[in-house]
Amino acid sequence: MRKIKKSRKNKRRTRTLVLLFIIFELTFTTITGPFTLYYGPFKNAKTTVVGAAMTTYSLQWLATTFLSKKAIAKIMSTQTVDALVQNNLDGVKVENKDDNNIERYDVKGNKFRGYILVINDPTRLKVGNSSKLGTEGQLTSDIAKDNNAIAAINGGGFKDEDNGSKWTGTGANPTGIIMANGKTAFNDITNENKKTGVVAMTSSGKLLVGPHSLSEMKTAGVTDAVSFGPALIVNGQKTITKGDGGWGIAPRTCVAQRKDGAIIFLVIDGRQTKSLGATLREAQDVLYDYGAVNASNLDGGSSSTLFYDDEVINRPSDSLGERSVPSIMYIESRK
Amino acid sequence: MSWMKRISIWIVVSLSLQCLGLFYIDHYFLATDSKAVSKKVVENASTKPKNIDITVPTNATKISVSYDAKYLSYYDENEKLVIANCRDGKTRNIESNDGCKISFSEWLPDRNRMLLVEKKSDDDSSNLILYSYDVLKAEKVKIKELEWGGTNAKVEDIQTSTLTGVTYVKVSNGDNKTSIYRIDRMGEMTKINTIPNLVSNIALVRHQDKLVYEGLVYNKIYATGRSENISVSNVDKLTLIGADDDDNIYLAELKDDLISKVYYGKTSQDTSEWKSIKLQTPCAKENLFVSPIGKIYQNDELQGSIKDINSGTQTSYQGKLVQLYTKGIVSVVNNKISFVLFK
Repeated sequence: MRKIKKSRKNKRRTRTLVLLFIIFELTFTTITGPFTLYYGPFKNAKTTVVGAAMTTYSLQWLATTFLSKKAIAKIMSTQTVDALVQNNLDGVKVENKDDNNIERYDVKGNKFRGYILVINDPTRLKVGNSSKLGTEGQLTSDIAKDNNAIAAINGGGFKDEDNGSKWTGTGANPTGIIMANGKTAFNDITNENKKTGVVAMTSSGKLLVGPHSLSEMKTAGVTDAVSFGPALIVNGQKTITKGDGGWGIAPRTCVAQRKDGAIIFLVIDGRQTKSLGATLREAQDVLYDYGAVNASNLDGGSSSTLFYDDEVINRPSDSLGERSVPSIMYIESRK
Repeated sequence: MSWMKRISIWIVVSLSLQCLGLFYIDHYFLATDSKAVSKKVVENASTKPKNIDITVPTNATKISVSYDAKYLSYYDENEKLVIANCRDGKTRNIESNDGCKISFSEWLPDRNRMLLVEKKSDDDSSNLILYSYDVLKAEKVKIKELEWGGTNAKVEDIQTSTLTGVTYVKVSNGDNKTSIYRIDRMGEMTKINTIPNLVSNIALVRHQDKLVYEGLVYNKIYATGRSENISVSNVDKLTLIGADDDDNIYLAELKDDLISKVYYGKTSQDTSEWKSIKLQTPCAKENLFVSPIGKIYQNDELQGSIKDINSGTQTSYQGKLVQLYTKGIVSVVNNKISFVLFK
């Protein structure tokens, strides 16, 4: 009789203990987790979280709650992108003018899925823009169709201005410069000699990346340009050699040029279970493997779109699909 | 075992788990991906098919076309949603999850993508799930699980502005209440407080986050973010026809359930500054349409024609009207779908 009572008591005791154990583990882990992450020895995890949080406005609190401004600045500074200057354009010799070939590749990494187009003739690369700049952006695929393009990627950045509530920007208001077919469609850079990050194409088919001033671009004979960065490869040199670039993991759009002049479009899907996205460094390394000598990052995130042969071939991260943007880079059709 | 000892062990367990997890993330998951694999994609020379006849089953219901009329959707006799490619006539079923039924579907206004609502078909519980379906890739992505109150919740309307990325879902709860939910680009969901309890028609302003809605009982028109209703002087009963791409809202004067005059303008303007247009022959609300570019079309069922109210141009069609799309009219003639471009 006494024994039975005792074992029942024991059972209840174990159950309470297990429950207490679980509650304790959950609470303790939640409280100490951020500290292990931010103050522990896990450099990659820490810099990725801080980088991703700080480059997305709505998530900055994830880092600022636990780390001082100074500590964040220090972490971000280990993730530098070297400011290499593209001072001569002689590294590229355009060899395949009037070559209508486009090759398509799928790229697969550990945590991302990407798409590559290699366009042999660089003089086909143009910039297109929304026909309603200031009022609304347009879909990459719609601007591409309007310009009779065979392929296109989203282009420069924009201010995501609210329209009555948060996150309702329409991609209407670009930043920097948009130059399309020799005409300036938009420009908020007032100082002609100030160097800002651009991606531009000259009339002879050479791609400009990284900081360039308006007057420099004029001298180089630029016909098409958008503003964005950072440059990932300059004159055959990688700009990110330590750290991951400091922008975290996200969908990416990049453009690059090979030594023989061929243009490379790279778009990497992100924020999806099958493809989380890539760091700037990973995008850079893919382009480097493809022989890029000059390469730049373009606007990423939910803007990242690759249009080819009348279809969007990547998977934009927004659940509604493609989002509207102010500018694109496209390849004119030669059919 | 003393409590001190026990807690110490627990702390060690938690810390080692954290370290193990972070170690894995740090050394494997986040290690810079240096071995991306490439595969060349060879295009199979696409043979673009000629336009062929599209037929739908006799008992097909809720026929609807996408914005550019490249795709068509309908429910077949088993109440399954079918998508047909209007270029080659190929059809495809959209699979729903086990025990679920696609209770609502709606094409997005500017792309070949649909919003779907799935509901468990066997019970009354109101768990509805919102999906986005990419027709080109045949992929279904879950947007939000909607835990909606009321036992007989039913989605009646979805309005989306792909420009602002905002989606509004109108749900009827079976009892005397309409609920409207707003889902933004980041997937955040909020409930909208409507002034009347029952809402009939809704329309969305494309460039701004503003929903215009009509009260079911008194036919008064409201917009989110303002407390007084939108009224037109000397008009007793108004009904909401729709909105165009330039944010104009189209309201019609109702007299004995017939429309004789249409008023249109922006919500930011006073309605005294709005424009108006009189219909030569009054018609029922179902026969009046607003196109994205701001044209008002009137359907004459008997004659089988669509009239542009502003210019007076008429386009005839055969059979029964299905829907207007950006470039023309879709109708069904003896189970065959017919496309006619606007004149």
